[in-house]
Amino acid sequence: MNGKIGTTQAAMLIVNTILPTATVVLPIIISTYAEQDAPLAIIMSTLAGLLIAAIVGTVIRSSNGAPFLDWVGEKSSPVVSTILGLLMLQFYLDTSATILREFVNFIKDNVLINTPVTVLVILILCISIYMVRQGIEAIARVNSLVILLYLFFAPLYLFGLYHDLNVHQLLPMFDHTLAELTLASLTPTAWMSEVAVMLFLAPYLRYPQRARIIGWMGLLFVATLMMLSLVSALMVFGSQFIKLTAYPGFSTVGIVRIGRFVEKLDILFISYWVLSIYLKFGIFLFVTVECFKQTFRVSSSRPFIGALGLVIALECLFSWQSSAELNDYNKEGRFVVFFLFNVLVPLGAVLLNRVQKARSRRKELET
Amino acid sequence: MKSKQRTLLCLILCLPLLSVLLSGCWDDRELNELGITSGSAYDWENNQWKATYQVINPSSGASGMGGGGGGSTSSPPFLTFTVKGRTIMEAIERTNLTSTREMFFSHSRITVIGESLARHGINQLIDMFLRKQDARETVFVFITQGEAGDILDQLMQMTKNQGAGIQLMIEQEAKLMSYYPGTRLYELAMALSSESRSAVLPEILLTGPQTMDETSETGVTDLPSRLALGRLGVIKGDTFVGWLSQKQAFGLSFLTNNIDSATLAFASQPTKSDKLDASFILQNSATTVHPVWDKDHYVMNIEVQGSGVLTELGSVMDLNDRKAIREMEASLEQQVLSLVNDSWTEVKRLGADVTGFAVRIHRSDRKRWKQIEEERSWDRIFQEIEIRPQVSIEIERTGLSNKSFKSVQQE
Repeated sequence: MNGKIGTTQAAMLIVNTILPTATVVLPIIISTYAEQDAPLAIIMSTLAGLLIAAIVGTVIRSSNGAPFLDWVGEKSSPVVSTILGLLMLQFYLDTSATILREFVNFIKDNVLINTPVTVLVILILCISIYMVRQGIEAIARVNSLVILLYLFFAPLYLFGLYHDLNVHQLLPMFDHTLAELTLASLTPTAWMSEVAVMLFLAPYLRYPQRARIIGWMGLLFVATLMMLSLVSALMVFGSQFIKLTAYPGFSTVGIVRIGRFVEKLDILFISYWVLSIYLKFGIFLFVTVECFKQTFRVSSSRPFIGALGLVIALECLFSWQSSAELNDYNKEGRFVVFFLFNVLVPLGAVLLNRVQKARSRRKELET
Repeated sequence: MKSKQRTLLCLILCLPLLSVLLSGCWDDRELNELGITSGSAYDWENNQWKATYQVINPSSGASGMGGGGGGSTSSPPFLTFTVKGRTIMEAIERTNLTSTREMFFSHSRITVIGESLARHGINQLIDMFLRKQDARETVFVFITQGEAGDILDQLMQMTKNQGAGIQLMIEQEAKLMSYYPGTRLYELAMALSSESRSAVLPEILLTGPQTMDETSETGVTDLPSRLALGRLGVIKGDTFVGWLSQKQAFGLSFLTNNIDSATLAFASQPTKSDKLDASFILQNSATTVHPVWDKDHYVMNIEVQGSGVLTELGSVMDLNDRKAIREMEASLEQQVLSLVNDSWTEVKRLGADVTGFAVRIHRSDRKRWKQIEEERSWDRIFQEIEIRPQVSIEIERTGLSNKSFKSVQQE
């Protein structure tokens, strides 16, 4: 079921790995610190993201698309790879649980106010498990179609906001110190670092040598759309009002209107967002399963998808009940955890590879 | 073959599971159980919120109010419910004690705030609109001197849906007259949370003493009492501080670059007579404001540039004479200048920065703005601001005749 995916398909997967929750969670965090300088924070985090993508790409090039943990095991020892696998499995389980919670919270806040969280979680999980069982190639194909829909939604969004966009709301620029901008760009950098899922998608890449380009393409697309979303929200609402709203991107959608006949398009945009967050959760569930498969060296992961989904659902239901705690984690805790697993782990792998190469060269010289 | 049979068996076994979905969604809403509100009004009475909701009456017919359709012709196009509560939501919930339908706010067009509430403070109301899922932040907000609830009772002749009718009124006014722009709720919240901390709300009022709330009363050609847009209410912080007259509001529109199109009455020959005997439609207008720190206070260099067409002339004049045109342009410029100055004098007296000068200073002089914020001295600085308006109006076209009719008669 798991065929190979092309470079563009993989880049689009990276887009939906990052974007759906980024558009919901990040604007409020970035604008709290950077206000009208928020675009600068996005630029800073994109640069950091491109660097992370380069590191991850280097690892994949070195391993030539081999399963990440198997490759680490070869380069170090099976014990190291198993311990790393367990830690990464924990990381991906946590991350998937928070994604699921953000998904459910948004739906509960905006659309299905009275529907119990448990019902939403079970429904989302069932659909996502089905997606993962179809394999990454099927996910990538659906994902490409969903991304293509931006060609419809982006112009509709911009034309609908045309009368409300005021470029002066972005002034004064450079009003914040470098420290404030750095603070504002930390959390988006954490999101950009999600490009590291490529480590586990590597075995399914048709051209693993192009991993860096895949990461860069995906991140640049994400940065462009984040910029579009945040800048338009700032231009419409200004830097002060944006801090009041829980979901600035969707508040902006609420005022989209074309004449007197096209208005109240919230549900249309929310439906599209739901499409993309399903894919995000599907990708993360796939990566979690892949991590499990490589850690425990099982040949087929299909019997375990449901069990891992259940663990994610339980963590989502019982560890992240408070949205205030989740917001705090997103604002302060996430960067550290993501930095550890999405930056330091691939960086460690690159160093390990270099050390191994240097050693073997030395041995060759000695002989 | 066997696998096909197994799949078929699985499908048949799964079919009963689909019935689980039929039990219904927790958020289902039947249309005939909803009271679709087209407008709401809020007053503050005896330390309580008094809320009035205008609900579209689905059984209302055409009743000579425009549009078609069946239904009872005697029942009004909308019904109103007035409720009280210690909080807004408590009041809203109390509508369920009297109404057969649950209030549904997603289609609201307008919200009217009574002066009593505006003087008490509107923070809580704004918060409710921004927080509640089905409340729309795009509703147009108005202020009224008396009871806000009375406004919602008034029937309109040209439209059945009063909320939508008032929305059309304010949109048309902003487009054709530019006395003031319509204020949507999010714009109100934006203005109050900006550096200026002040906002304006158009007044809505009844022109007569009585409320036309029976369908039979609207069967006359000239209603004794109609809904009309009046002055401009000024909010500072979250409380009402005073009114600007229509003329002052018009001046404020020039100051804040909110002119879409406007008609100006002016004296065509100011050297001979002050009589306003000509009209000019201002089709394009742009205002730029440049704050400059001048020793101990800010000077606002305001440049208004406009152009348009002459539409009425009551004096003897040859419009092929460039000197005559220049004289009229000077008169128009003087007219706009006086509007701007009058407006500024009143705004300064009220002490509310509805001009947005604070925002402009922050954008152009951020260091000094930071200092002002630290010292919390904006109110004092605002009082010391000096404005230096410069107006340039160009009569681009003079209409379909080159001479005034009066001059032809005299010849």
